[in-house]
Amino acid sequence: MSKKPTIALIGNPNSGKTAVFNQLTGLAQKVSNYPGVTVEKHVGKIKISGKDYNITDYPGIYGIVPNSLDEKIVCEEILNWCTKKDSSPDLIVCVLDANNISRNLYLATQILEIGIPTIFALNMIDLLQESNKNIDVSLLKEKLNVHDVVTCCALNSKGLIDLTQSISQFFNNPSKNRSEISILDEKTKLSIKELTNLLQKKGMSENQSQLYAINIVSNSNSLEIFENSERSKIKEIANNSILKLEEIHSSTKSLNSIIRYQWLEKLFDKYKILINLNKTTKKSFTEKLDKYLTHPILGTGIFLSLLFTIFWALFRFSEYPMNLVDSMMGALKKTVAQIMPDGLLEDLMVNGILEGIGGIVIFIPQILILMLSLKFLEDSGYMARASFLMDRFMSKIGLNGGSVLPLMSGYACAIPGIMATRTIDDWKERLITILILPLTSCTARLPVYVIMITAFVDEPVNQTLLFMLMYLLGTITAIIVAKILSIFLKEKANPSFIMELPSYKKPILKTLLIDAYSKTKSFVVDAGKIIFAISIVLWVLASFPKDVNGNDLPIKDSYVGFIGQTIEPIIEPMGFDWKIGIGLITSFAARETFVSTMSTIYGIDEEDEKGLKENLSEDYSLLISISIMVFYVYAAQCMSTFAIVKKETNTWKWAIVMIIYMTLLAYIGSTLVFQIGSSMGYT
Amino acid sequence: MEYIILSILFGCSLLYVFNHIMKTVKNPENIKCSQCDLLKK
Repeated sequence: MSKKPTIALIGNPNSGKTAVFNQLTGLAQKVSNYPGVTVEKHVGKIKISGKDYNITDYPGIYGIVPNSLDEKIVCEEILNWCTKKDSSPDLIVCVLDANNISRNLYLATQILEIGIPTIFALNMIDLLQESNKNIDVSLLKEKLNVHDVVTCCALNSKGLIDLTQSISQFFNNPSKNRSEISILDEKTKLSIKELTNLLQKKGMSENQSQLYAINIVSNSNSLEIFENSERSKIKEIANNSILKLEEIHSSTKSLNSIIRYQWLEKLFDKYKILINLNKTTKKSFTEKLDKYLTHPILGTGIFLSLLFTIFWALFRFSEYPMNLVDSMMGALKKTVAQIMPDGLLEDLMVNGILEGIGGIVIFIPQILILMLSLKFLEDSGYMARASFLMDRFMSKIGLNGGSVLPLMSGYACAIPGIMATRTIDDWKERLITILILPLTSCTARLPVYVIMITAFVDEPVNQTLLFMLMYLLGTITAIIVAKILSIFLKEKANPSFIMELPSYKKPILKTLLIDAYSKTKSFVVDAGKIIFAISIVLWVLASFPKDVNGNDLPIKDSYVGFIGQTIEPIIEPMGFDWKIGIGLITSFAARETFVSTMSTIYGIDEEDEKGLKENLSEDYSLLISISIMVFYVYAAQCMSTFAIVKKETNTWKWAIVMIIYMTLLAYIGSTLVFQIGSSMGYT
Repeated sequence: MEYIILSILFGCSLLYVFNHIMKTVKNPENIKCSQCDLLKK
């Protein structure tokens, strides 16, 4: 059986590779409007004119020299293509952001020098045309000797047919042109001759060896992608080449960038590849808006106002749908109770399973609103501005803006956030970001905050303020912990941050809705499965043992009651009783099970038709509710987070450090809230 | 009969919770909300 042809998708971060990948394969990898969304390579399949192709989406890179872990994966693979010919793809589709053509060509010309047939996909061409500019595609194709250049706008599928046709034509055409260019002058080539000879012995072509040689003498990071055993020899010869190069160039530092950008500038000046129809230089919409949104004071004010608006909408607009879901669940329980014969199984179904599931389903409207809002901010390009704003705070605590985007991801879920730290090149910074990331409040905490706030606070504005306070508490604590860790961690730090601010884009409603739907479905279905199982276990433990006559005992005397009362002395200083204690235990499987656990316990315990909110407000106080929320802000309860920390740091050491410091924070924080509050007479 | 069904349900649920914990520790990126970033249409 013949091997399927392979295609590699390469490009700068945020050039739209994953959007192209999704459109071609029908998959739904995460796409957004900020750099560093893809941190792992993803493989998919496409079928064009009846033929199957394998296509790989790689994390974005700026050049063939890595600056971070995610870039290293790609750069090592590209080096492999050069040294082991059978590992190279049959075709490279290089995705370029048409609005930053010069910077994107910095990478694209290096890809061309590798000599693998390449097609350029000029993405986001619509935005360029809106600003009265255009690119002469045929000239670009001719002057760079590219197999083909197509224009597209991957987010709304424009130009994708042209791209698939171009791919198909390439594979149908037996005379394949190798897209090969060389930008070095003869003197420079001569100066690096010794180095290129060495690289050619490793299997590189002449052009490839020149490309790597100029990168090695320009940037010491280049050596990182070579085997340890090869590095010293390459370094020794590179030093000789540097001496020779310094006779013709003032410095070899960033020589590759200088030569390449000069070459591109000349090409663009001579052939007018970029067409500018603007008569006068007017400020773009993005530049005008950035003046306000990235302003240190005004921008921060706008950011906090936006956060407040989102959280307010969360409470204001979800009230009606929440009541609707609640009454639907009530009706379902009644129907099931009528259909099923009285007995243990009916009790399990109504007061165990349906009560538990109902406890989580009710939060669907809130999750939807939060997910829609976050995706809107991401896709519009605002999230990148929020990172830029945070950079000034971050530098004061030993981090930089590069940590902000992973931290922002943490508001949805800590796991992709921790994986996104691969974009941080400095290990100390990356480690600190990983360790503080679980302090950002993920969606699993949302049900706990909402139920605790709505049970004790009535006004939507007050509810919003308290909710926002919990999010800010996590964020501010994360900043303080980062500062402390940066003092104690001995790892070397080299904080530097260059961030590309993407242009603002109008988010596509369909994309927003699909994303919010997928995330909400994933939240409900995946959490639902474990809640279902826990509800059964909990119901059994809460309904047994029976008395000598087979009648129910008070829940306090059940197995659950026994477990809860055993741990009660430990949690008492925080103001928690045994019921909350059971909620804390089940939260280790998934945080959101706290709400369903409380629903199940009250479902069994209370014979009346009161809802969970009413039961909680009768048994506890606002002070205890705040103490619970503070506990959930800090507590290390997510096992998947510990496991991903172990995976990303290659040791359990940091996962254990995280569990210890977060548990201590949760216990001390909650105890302080309750004890200080009680002494002030708030109980 | 009810007790037999209950015992089976209880045992299966306990196994499911245990299995969920083990899977989480082995492949944390494959669970829950993190999957949002890697969903098939």
